[in-house]
Amino acid sequence: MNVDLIFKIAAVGMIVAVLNILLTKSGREEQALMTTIAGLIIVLLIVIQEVAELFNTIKDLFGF
Amino acid sequence: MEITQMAALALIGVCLIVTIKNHRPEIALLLSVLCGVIILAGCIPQIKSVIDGIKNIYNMSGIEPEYMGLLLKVIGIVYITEFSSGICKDANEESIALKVQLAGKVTILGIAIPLMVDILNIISGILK
Repeated sequence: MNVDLIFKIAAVGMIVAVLNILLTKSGREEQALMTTIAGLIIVLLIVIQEVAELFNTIKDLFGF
Repeated sequence: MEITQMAALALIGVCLIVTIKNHRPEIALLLSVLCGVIILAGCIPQIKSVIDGIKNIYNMSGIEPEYMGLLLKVIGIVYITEFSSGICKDANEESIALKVQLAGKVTILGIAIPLMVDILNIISGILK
């Protein structure tokens, strides 16, 4: 499996956190919220694909 | 993927999750889901060899192979249910974790009912 995915997701999380703080400090709260939601959607898409792949391998393995 | 890799991966994942946790808890949760997925996917080859071993032993015993399929299905259901209910517990959502476990139990019962019917038929056949 691709172990570097964990580091990618952690990097996205940190970037979004930093961006969020920067934007809130500079007074643009709505853009901060938008970057948070965008980061969340990206991470969610990646994780959902991995979970779907795992569940499919389990299905084939155990004969669902 | 040996156990050493998986253990190290879990430690690294936990460190990253803790760093992100207080800033972005939702991304930390998704990161823990990803760590779980990668570790489980790492041990799929071992599970495959264990299942083949069980199948060989089972074929030697001469019982109908369909019961073997049911057994494996139940194990798979437990596998998936534990995975998602554990993650729900991580997110402090106890009620959703219990619902997932309830769904898993109901699914397993749905699989086990025909087996019980077979056994009862056999028993009633013997008693007659």
